[in-house]
Amino acid sequence: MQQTYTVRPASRTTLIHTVDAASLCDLDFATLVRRCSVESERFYRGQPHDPAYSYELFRRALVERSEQSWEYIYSHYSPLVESWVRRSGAFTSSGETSEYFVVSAFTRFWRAVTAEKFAAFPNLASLLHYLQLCAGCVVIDSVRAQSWAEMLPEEAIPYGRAPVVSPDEEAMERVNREEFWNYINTQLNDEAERVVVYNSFVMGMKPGDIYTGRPDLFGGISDVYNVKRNVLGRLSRNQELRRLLAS
Amino acid sequence: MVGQQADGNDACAYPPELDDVELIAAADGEASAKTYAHLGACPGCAARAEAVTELQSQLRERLYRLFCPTSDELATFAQGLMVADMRDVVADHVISCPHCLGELNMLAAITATPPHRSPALPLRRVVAYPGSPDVSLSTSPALNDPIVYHAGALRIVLSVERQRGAAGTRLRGVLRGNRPQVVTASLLCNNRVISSSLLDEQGGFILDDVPAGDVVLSLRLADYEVVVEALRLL
Repeated sequence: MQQTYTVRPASRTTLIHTVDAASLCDLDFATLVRRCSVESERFYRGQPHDPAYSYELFRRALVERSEQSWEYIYSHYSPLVESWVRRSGAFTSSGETSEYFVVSAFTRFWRAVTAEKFAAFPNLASLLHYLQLCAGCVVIDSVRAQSWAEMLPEEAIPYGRAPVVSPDEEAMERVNREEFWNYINTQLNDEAERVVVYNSFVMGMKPGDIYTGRPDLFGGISDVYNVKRNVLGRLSRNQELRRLLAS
Repeated sequence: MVGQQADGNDACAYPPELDDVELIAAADGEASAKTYAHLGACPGCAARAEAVTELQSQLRERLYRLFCPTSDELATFAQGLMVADMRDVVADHVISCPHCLGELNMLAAITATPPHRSPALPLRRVVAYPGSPDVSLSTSPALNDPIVYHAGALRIVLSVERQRGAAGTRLRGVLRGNRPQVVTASLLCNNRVISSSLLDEQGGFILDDVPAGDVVLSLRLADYEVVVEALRLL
């Protein structure tokens, strides 16, 4: 036998303050987790709730680097992070599991919010907002990786998709690529050539799209092709460029 | 020529050979069917096309999205937290970069709603009923027989026990059936949550510090809850 009906939640979610910071620090982990679960559930049911317990768990996880606090936060907020990822629309075409995005978002959050930076997050809402942004960045990086895979042959190691690179290495790689662009730029004769090279190789556009974007500069698609042919011919004969490409 | 082979071993097997524009169009996926047919049959022209493709790949590898801000920078920009000079640079870039514009829209979709919000709609309630007429659970370990409740295809098995090392009572339960991934079990007294826990992977949950008297057990799913009403804990 099954009966269904609805119960309206409280008309407005209310924040309440039930405990001071010093008392929170003294709470044992099990009690803290229990209180966090209860307050969180009150929140979901639109009842007055106190987010201080969840905030304290975040503090222990990020400032004290408490592993058990982090594990609880991960399991407690994973469904929420997953719901954000699914909202992006990029998830279904990504080919990745939702767990991949959730783990990546938490990892990014963990690395970004160090003990020193925790003070910049004064409440639970600010922490969750930042976690949400981390989830967004993970989705963007995944989309970029896909875009790289479509643009480049498999054997190429695309920038930004190398497994783990330090910020220094990433910055160096970017500088090298900018220097490469500066060299290419010196080999171009006019604006039409710059537009074709920039849009072809920096933006990944095809000649048809380049013409559509700049009909003021080209008489037709064939003009774009002719410019591209001239530039590629010149670049392919350039010994310095060959050396740079081989390095 | 763009697609000239270094060893010159690229003679066309079916003259006239494809010109450079046709080779570039083939590399860009915009060539005619006739051009692709020629490339399929002519090793010489195919080799020249391959050389064009290789050069373009090398250029893309070094230049693709070179001037795009990182995802972190885009997130900072989207929040309005970027310093003025940098903000203007990113704003100018985004206007002319469909990739970054799309990513900003994606970020907006993710952050469109507050990160943490209670369900907008009231939860639909599904009431679970005991398989036997006895709805009273005893705290006595001697009377520790589990009771099974039914709600459609779901079954909830409940038992009560003393909390070890504490004066309180513990309600232990398992949700069986085709259950969704995320379920939260809560005890409510006068419609106020007094104890709560996520179900584990096996559908199990433990609720500690259960008071004596009438309580409601609620298993909250995504958009509805299964409740055991008038649960009398002695």
